Amino acid sequence: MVTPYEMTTRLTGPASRRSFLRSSVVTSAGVAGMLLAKTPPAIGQDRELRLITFSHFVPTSDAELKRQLEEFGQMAGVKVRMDRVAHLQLPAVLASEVQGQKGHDLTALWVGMPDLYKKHLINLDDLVEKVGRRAGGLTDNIIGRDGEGHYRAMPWFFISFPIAVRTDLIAEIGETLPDTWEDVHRIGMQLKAKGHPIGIQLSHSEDANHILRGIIWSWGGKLVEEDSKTVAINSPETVEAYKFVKALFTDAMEEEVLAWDDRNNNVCLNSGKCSMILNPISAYNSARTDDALIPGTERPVHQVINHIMPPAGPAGRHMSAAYATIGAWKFSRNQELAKEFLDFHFQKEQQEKHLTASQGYNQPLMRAFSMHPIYASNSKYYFAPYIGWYTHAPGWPGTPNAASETVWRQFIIPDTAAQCATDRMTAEQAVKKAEMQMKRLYRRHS
Amino acid sequence: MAISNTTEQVLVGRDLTAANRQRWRHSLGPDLDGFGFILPAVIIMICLVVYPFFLAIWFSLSDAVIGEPGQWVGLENFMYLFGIMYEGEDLPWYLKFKGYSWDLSLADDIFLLTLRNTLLFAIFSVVLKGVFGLGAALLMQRATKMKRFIRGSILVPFVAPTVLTTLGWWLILDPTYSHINWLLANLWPLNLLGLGPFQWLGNPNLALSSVIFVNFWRGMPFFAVTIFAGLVSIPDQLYEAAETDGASTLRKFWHVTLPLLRPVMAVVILFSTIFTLADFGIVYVLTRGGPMNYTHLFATYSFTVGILNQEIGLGAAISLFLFPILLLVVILQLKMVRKETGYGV
Repeated sequence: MVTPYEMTTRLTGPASRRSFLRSSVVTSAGVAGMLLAKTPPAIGQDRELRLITFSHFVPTSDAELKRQLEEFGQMAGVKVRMDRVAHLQLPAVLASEVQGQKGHDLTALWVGMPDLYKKHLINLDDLVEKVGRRAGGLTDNIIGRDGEGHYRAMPWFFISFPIAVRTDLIAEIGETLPDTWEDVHRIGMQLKAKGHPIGIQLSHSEDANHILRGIIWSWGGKLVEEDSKTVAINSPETVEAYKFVKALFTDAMEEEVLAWDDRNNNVCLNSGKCSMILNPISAYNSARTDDALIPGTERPVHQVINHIMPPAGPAGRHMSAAYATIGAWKFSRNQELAKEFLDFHFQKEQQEKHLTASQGYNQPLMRAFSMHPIYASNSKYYFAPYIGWYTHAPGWPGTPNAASETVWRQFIIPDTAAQCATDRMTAEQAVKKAEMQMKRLYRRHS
Repeated sequence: MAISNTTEQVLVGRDLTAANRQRWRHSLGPDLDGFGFILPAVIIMICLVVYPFFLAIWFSLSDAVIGEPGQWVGLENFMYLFGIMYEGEDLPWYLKFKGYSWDLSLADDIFLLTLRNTLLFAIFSVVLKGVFGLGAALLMQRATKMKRFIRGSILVPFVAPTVLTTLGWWLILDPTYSHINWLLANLWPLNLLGLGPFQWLGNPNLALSSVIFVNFWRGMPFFAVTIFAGLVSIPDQLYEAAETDGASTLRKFWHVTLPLLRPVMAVVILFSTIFTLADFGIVYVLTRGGPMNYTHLFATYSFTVGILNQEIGLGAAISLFLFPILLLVVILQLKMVRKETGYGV
């Protein structure tokens, strides 16, 4: 029998100490040379357009985006590649690409990132203007811009936060669908007593950041002034909003919301436990796809879920939304190609396919698509064309910027609201603490 | 067979050349080949350990943000964390001797909470691992059947990928459908106790306890197997001598086993303390630092500040904060290990 060593020796001859050392040195020198030159060998230099995005909550949306990228690649005669990461991982991946000045050519960005990475993203003013003209203008003129007003990313779409309600449970207690936050509180109290609490995260989750901003705005509070620099969270209105969050938590929610991620509220609604959640239409869509049943019955839960506008507070109806943008890095070697792809992707035909593939989840920022027929295809999407009227980007009434993004990523609003809700702080103390933390971040990032 | 003159000259010539080479090599040191062999390891160490370490120190002393090198700011990042402000003249950092004020209310309170969390996490976790690891090692030593199976299976939590096993714990501790809560509510006789449901990841104290428990569950096998290796190396004659002197089981454990395990325990505690203080995956998967930052550790908070918030300088300062303390612990532990421990047989 031949041992592996004998086989190696027969094939290559015995390796002396000296030849081993020589090969090690040559290999190390080669690798070091490549690293110093920051250039891969010729074999690795094929032209390839690479795009990174977050794993979409409706997977068919990603499939359509990939199809479009491949179609563009065929037309342009280049290889293409699309990578996806979990939505919470995207900021870390982008940070590492910027630090290393290498990675993908095109990237999905959340709304504060065009300002956060303004030095590293190419200017897209001309392309946004061209696309905007083609699509009848934009519904929101601040999305995708940096602090100086230049477009560093294309406004892509927004994911809105209506309130998803169990209509059967509300009917059971003789109430009508809630229109205001006070209605939500009153109905929520009754339904919690029947084992069906409300589910709003007070945790390190994206949903918590969106919903709590919506509540603060609905009470007339704001995080910053219109100049996007002056921290203005410490106001009587915000204190009242925090007091309302505490009342809602105590009377209509359960402690589990303190540990929820962005998935838990969907699970809570679709499993039949929760009576109301503030969430994009993904909860309803997954209930429909999974054919989830109301416990103890044969009735699909999606039949009794409906969406209504975000509730109104003393200062009106306001809610935040997840605004997605897409930009191209300055360190990309394919900048022109990346812009050509964006031009292709933002054509009416491609945008329509992308919107349809997402089942209406990717709500358009182009006026031409805001009344798209998909929203008439299901009565439960009726809110979609109008919710934009009440929806603002984080940082409102200012513009989303690097500072608002860092406040978001540190979960300052959910943490302080949770501390107030769990009696660790009074509303006044919690708001004061949020102000201090925000001021520190605004000082460093403005 | 006779060797021709020409061949002889060639051989002698080659010998001379080899001798010269040998002499030259000796003049450089005793064994040049030895240096050659360790060179790849040295290069790897420099690239993957030394360079990142000094880079992190530089970052912590600069105002670097992601994608930009930053300027030297001295200890400003560390002062910021503790609420120390400079209100003196605008001088270069090495001339700023006066003008500092300290207001703890201006300190980064998430950092202070992180400091408390990290210390609690490390102390409880290492103590639990030490106590239960020692117990498991003693049990393994006494096992007479299925020894290999027991020794192998106890290592499973340690060798399985951290993220994978933590995801399992995440489901077990799920806020809405925790398996443990279900057992407490439905499994006889637990359901008679009327306990729960508990918010394992939602209540600050329970959440910190949960991450400590998962770290303990994962790290205990390392203690058990290492201590077990130490146990089997203790000569039986010592126990026999103690028995002859009439020592009870407890006294044998106290006066023979524990003192002789001291070097092993010191090394394993040292490694575990370092790994525990640097833990990231368990907290990131289970709680992402929540609820209300009550489970943030240095690694997760420095990731939030340095990577997600772009402030890589401040992030590096947070992650390096424990380095001097850790260095002191390492020095003390190593001193303890070096103390001579003889078996006296």
